Amino acid sequence: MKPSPQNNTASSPALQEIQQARTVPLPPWLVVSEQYEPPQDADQYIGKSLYHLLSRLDALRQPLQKEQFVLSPVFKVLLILLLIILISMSTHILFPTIVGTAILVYLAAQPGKDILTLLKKGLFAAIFTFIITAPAIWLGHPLSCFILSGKTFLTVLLVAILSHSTPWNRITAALTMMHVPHLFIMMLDMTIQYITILGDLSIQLLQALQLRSVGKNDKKYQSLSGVLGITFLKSKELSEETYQAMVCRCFTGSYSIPRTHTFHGTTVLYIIILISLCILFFWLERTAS
Amino acid sequence: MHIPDNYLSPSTCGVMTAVMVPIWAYSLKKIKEEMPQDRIPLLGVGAAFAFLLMMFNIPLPGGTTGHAVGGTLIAILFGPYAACIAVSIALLIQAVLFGDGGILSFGANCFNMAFILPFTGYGIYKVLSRLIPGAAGEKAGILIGSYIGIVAAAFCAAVEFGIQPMLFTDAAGQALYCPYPLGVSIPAMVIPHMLVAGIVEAAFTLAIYSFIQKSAPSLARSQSQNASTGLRPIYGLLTALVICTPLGLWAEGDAWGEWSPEDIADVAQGGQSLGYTPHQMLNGFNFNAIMPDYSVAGLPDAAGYILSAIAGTALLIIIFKLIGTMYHETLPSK
Repeated sequence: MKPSPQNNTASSPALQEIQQARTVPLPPWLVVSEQYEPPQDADQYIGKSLYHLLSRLDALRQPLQKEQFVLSPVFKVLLILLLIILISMSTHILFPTIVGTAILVYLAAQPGKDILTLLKKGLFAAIFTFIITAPAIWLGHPLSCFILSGKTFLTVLLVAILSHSTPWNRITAALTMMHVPHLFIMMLDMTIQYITILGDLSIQLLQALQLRSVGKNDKKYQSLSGVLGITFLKSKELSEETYQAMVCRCFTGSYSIPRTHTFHGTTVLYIIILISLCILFFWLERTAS
Repeated sequence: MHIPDNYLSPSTCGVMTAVMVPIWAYSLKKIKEEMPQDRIPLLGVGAAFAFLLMMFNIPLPGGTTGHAVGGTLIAILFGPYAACIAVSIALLIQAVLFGDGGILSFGANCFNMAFILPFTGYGIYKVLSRLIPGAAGEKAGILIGSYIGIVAAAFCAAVEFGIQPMLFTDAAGQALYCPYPLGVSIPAMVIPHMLVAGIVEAAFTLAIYSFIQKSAPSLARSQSQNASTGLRPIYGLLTALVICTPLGLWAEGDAWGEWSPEDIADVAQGGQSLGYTPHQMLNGFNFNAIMPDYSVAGLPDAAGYILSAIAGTALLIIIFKLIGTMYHETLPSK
């Protein structure tokens, strides 16, 4: 392309300067082709931390999944609580066996990936309990070790099912309806929100660290305090901002739930189910003993 | 047909398990190569059918009981290799959870019911449906294949029982394990299976296969498209079978070759009772299942039977769903 005559005349001194510069030889360090190969470094620490954080946050951010059984969250929370209490109270294996069978049926209706997630949680708790109570085997109570592990498996699985099938905001709403103190719910709500916000922040920090790390870094663990420190400072800043936002919006820490929950057919059904569960429990305990 | 522990010598059990190991390995390889990933969870439904069919005990001539297996049904729906694995897992759950069939004799039970039965049944089905064209050929194949399949499995079990007194006796000449020779075990096992259990197996196989073809053709097809859709009628049928399982309690008495060590001395065979309890049955391997004989302590028999049926069915579906998920994760990403 030809340069326009207008430009040519205007920038002729500059052009001359450039042409002059072209004749100057490059400095030797710029001519030598670089052979830098960063030494191999085990950066599993950052990679693993990132993966772990991402998977945790992913699990927390799942609340918008579809609910298969549209049960009232209040009922779900009450049912799970009641089942946990009854399983813990049972002196005979019969009631836990029946609840276990019901859980199996629920699990069989879930997709394979969800079954795996739920079972992992339950099994981890059961194995931990088994290790803790294993001395009972040598102290002459081998059965109690297995029963305790089984009960732990069932109760943890129940809670896992609750949190997996119900979004967090529904659970906190259900707790409000159950007259749990508002302060407690606010703390729970904020903790869950902040875990995702601060988790995102630490992911960004770790990614920044990963991008800027070239070659071998022997002081990797020192950066951990930096990541934590910045996360802490940021959380302090965020909490102040939250407080100001609360003041601006006249939020006093009390939650008000619109009273859509009226006393109709399903409520009666829920109450009947809960009562019949209790009756079944006491009947089974009496007949089995 | 579930051989309990101590009816076969540990060496026989070892040989049968050694025979089964390469069969299992090859079957798993074939499933991985040939089966679309989204059909694996459906295999759990097939295994659940087999599990439930085995709970329906029917009275057989001679005062014993028997049951259908459904191995040929799974083989026709999913192929014989898949049937082998599905029936094996159903047998494993029966042995570990419900004490039906022994732990040591698991290999022998799998050889009879998870290898001989589905492969014989499927082979005959294939040959007949090729020889006789049209729906008649398919029906004849299903009926005759499943009938011969279960009779062949009963024959194998009888041979395994029958060789025990020939090989293992104590100094007094009394059998250490199963006391009945081939001359007793083969007629006692094969004839009732030819007269009753085989016919029931054939009828169940044809009825369930026709039902599946009509109501959930996706399960009967081998294509992977929409494999898991339209399964409501199948789950309905499974539920109906679960509710009906207490019918299996009507058949009184034990199956041939499944007597408890306390009863075997009094079992009359050919007009006279055995009169002694084989030594190894009293002192052999003993395993306590969680829900022995499909019963739950403290519950009425029927309720325990239904609870066992629900637990077993759900467990099989869960296991195959998990296998499907893990199989998906191990596949290389394209």
